[in-house]
Amino acid sequence: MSETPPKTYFSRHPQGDWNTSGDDPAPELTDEIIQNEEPRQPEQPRTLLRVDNVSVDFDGTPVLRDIDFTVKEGETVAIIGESGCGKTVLLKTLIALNWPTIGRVLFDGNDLRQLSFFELAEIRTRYGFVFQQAALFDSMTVGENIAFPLVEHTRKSREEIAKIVQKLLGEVGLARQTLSKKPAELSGGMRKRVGFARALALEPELMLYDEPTTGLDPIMSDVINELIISTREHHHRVTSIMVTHDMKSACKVADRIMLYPITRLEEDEPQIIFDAPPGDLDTTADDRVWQFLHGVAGERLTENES
Amino acid sequence: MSEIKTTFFSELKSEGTAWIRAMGETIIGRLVYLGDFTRFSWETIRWLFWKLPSRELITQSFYTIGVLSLPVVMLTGMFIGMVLAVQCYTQFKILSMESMLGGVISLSLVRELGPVLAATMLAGRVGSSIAAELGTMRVTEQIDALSSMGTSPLHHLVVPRFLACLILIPALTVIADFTGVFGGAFYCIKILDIESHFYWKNAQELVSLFDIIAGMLKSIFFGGIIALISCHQGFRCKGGAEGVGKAATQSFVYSFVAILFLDLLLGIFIDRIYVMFDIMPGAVKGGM
Repeated sequence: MSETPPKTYFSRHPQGDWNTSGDDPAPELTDEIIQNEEPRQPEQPRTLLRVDNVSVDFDGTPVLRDIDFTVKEGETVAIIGESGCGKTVLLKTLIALNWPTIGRVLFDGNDLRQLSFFELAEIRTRYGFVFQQAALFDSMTVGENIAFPLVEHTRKSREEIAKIVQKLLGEVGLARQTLSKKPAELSGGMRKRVGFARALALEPELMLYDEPTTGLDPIMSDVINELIISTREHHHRVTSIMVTHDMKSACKVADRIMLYPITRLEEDEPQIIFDAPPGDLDTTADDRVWQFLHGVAGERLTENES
Repeated sequence: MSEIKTTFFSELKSEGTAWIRAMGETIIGRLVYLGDFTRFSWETIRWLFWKLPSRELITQSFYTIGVLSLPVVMLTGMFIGMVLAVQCYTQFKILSMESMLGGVISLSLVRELGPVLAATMLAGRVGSSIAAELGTMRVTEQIDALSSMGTSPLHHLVVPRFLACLILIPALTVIADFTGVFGGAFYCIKILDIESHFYWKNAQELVSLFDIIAGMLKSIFFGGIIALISCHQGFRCKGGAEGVGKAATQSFVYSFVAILFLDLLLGIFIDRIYVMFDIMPGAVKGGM
């Protein structure tokens, strides 16, 4: 069975550039050409998010310093760090809920700071944000909460929206009866799942998770982890960034773990340090990373007192 | 020499100039607040002309702000009318001018007491509730959630409330005026036995259409300022339950001060118009 050749054939120009103009006559596809053709390289995932030397100050107090990293399409990145080190601030900076004092955040090549209000609003519909406490709208039912982004940003009919809401509710494992409940009637885990469903409503390209397992029992934490993993599978390998201090969750979910602020978000280093035996590390900074990863207080209590 | 200079300034900094620094910080803080409030108000008004919120949101705000405030406004108006009758009756009886009470009560209510007291009541009921609601939304990240979904919180939360206050507070003021006039009339006619014909005749002669319009004009400004102050307080709320409580209290205090300040400014402005166009009501006309 022979494959039909593509209508536009990519040919190399005499100067070495690729063109698709169709000006050059396309050579006839012979068996020889097909056999001699180099095997196609798998397509490199594009960089979806780039954080470029970002620092954030609040009222002159530095919160984030010199953050640099990129996230490729389809990747799941966990950012771990001690409580109060600015993880949530970083996550909010990625969606322009906070503005960097220095540096820039680029989403799909767009510098968020350079966008107009309406352009930014448009870009934000390509994000999904799962808040630490779910941030569901108290005045709305669960169904209205999940439908909200669809009502606001699409022209779908009520019936279509109802179908999508039910599908999303099923995806996060909640019963249909939950639809008419108010957020105040739900448990912490259920609220997070509704938050998930709402964040997925517009089929985002980038999911941001703010400490998704905080305050949940181990089983519910694992349910949330499974949800994050299944979200990647169901939604065409959506890109995800998760901030957490739950190492187990980070290890289970993420392709890559970055630690802030000790290693200034250097890639992959935490795993090497995590595997090292205690006391076998070169620097004090590495020691502190090891203590964080293994949950050892070390000298921190004495530090706080002084 | 430089050592002496350094010591001198450090002493000055630690003792003598501390109050200057504190005062400067307070002034800068107030100016920053004022600038932020002005920008917030400007953005809200721009959204109002750019795109109106959905009918559902507007209806919900109109119901909460207008319909639910109706009983309290009617009650306030009625009691103000009756209290005015009680307070004025003795004085007017000495002058044997009891029948003039109709005019005095109606004019006081329509021009001054109705708009100011209705606005004060609504600053307490509506303003504090708006500040607390939006403040809670801020501290529970619901406002951030709106922004993260590409929806403008100003358009979604502030504009419907602003619109409702702007339109319904004047309407509620008119209702407060009416119930006040009828409360006063009930007390004067039924309890103080004042002749009903003269009571209403004087009321009709003293109160002109312009008085009613002037009162409504005031209440439009009061409505707008209550909504903007309350929403701004809610949006800038920080620090959990304590912050929400503070936002609710401050929204009432700032609204009340703004109502009094605007009342004075608008009072002067309306008075100039009265004089300029010579539209003072008959009985008082000669006195001016």
